[in-house]
Amino acid sequence: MTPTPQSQSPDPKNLWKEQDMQPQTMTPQMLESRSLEFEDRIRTRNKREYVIGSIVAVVTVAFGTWMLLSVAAAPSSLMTGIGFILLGLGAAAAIFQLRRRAGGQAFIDGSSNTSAAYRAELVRQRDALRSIFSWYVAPFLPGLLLIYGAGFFEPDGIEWGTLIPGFLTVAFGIWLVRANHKAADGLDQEIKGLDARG
Amino acid sequence: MLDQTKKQDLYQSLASQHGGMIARLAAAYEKNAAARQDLEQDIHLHLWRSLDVFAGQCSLITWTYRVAHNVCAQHVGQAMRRRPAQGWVDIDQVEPVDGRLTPEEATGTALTLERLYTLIDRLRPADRQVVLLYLEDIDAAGIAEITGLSAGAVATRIHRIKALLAQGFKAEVLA
Repeated sequence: MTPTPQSQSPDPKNLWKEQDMQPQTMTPQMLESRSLEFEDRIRTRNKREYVIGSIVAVVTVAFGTWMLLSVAAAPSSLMTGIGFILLGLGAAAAIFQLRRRAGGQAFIDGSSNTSAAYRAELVRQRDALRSIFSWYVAPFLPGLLLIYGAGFFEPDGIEWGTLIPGFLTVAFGIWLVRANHKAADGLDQEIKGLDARG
Repeated sequence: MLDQTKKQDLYQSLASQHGGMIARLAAAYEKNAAARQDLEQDIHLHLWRSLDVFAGQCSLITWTYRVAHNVCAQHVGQAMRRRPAQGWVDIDQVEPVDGRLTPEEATGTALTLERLYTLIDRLRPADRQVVLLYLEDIDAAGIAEITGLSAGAVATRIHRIKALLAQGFKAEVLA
């Protein structure tokens, strides 16, 4: 293609609007069918997540209960059993919160202007990321503290087998919170920029 | 709420009037051909569904543009979590092409679609929306209504867009 001198440049609006592009055509029937598929997909996904979450919670609670009922009532066994029950309940709480906070808006409409809609979505995501400790990490803490803490009550004393997983769990938790805070900072910067430029 | 027949007529009228805009918008937000088709269909799907709650809150054209841009903004939201905010550029950070650099740039002036797409891809979503609405020939008042930006903010951006388009441009963050 021969470059066009500046003085003869085509109008960019015409260049844009006259692109060789074939718009897709969708009939109302196709849209209605896709709309139902979309809702089905959401329902199936929700159901799958709840089922998996429930299985994890039930198995963990059952394991903890079994420990409480079947093991000699030494302080460490009691703590571990109760710890697993709390861990299962914590997992259920975290999964519920994850769905509530991280699920996107199902359908979009035009009642809000684009800046307001975009800002609201950024704020929602930022707040969810910023508060991840309280809704995603904290529910696991009571169970984990009891399970790892039980190691201190073992008759043979504390073992590396308890300490190392404990340290790894703490390190993972810190990394998770920091990574989410970093992502929240990025969104916060974008929100401030939006406010300043609007 | 609209009855089904009226909704169908309204949608078909909007799709025939604004189908081209929707296709171009999807192309501006998504490079991958298959994902672009999905995005275009998603815009139609959301537009179709949104007509259930349309009650004259704004003009139908404004409504259509808002739905289309909001779907695209949600689509780009995922990319945004992967790309740090520093990865975007403001429209006032885009530098006009230096005509001395290469023969092609010296003639400089060939405003190619590829260049336009590259610029759009690097812009922050709010600036991107203004550029795309400007290219669709929406006037400043219409852009302000669709985006919610102040008239002054729209005017400043349009002034910058016009200057860039007149000179040719490259997306480059100034040091």
